[in-house]
Amino acid sequence: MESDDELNEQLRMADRAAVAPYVEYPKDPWWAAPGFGVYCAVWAVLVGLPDGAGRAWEIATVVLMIVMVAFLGAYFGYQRRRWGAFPRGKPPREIAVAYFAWLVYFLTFMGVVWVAAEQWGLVFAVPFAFLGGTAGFWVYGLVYERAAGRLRRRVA
Amino acid sequence: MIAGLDPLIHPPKRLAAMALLAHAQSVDFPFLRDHLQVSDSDLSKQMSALAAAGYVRIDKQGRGRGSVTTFRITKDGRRAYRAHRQALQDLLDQVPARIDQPPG
Repeated sequence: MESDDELNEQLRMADRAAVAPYVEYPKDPWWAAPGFGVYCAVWAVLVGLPDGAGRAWEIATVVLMIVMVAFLGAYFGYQRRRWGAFPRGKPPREIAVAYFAWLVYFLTFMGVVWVAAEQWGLVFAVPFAFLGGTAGFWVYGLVYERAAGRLRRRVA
Repeated sequence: MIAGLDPLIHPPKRLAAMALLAHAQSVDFPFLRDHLQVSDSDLSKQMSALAAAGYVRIDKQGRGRGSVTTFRITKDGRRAYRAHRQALQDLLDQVPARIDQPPG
């Protein structure tokens, strides 16, 4: 008959394995943060293009939107290949908080870029979007690492 | 073996492997080996046993040095893991009751 200490250790070992996909992950490549900055800058161009700018601009808009969607798909595909164990299912609460923070930042910042593009034009909005997107992505990396650290300590 | 515990999943390395697989879309060979801290051959043996039971699916792509082996938990495997984990928890929850029961 196993002791309660042994049973506890087995459950804790299972807990540590269960969170491994969230806490054992590769560092983002150097180009990820500025890459997201470029993504935000493209968004600024899309929302800042004047209405009725002509057929060429309309075509460019559609192409840019396709590029943005394709870029997201390619990025997630790339991450799935790099992460030896891509997470699935409901994340642990520490990670869920980090995900929520990212969602709030992403939606808010994209809204701010839209307003900036409409109010102050592309000359301001594009560099603003690039710098803010780059910085935001980098900060999110720190936020996620802190969350992963808290999770590691909880299941240790 | 105590009722509810799955003898196939009960060994610690297999339990950890199943727990990891249950929370990942798929897991590649090096990741699982490094997390479990086992050798290549030991991991292959453990995962073959789980695959033979239908708990894990093993996918191999490519050949030779560039080949990639990934593991995914199956529906049966997920069910078995959850049941085993619940059985462990139930056992733990029963410990005070077992101590309180008079002998014999």
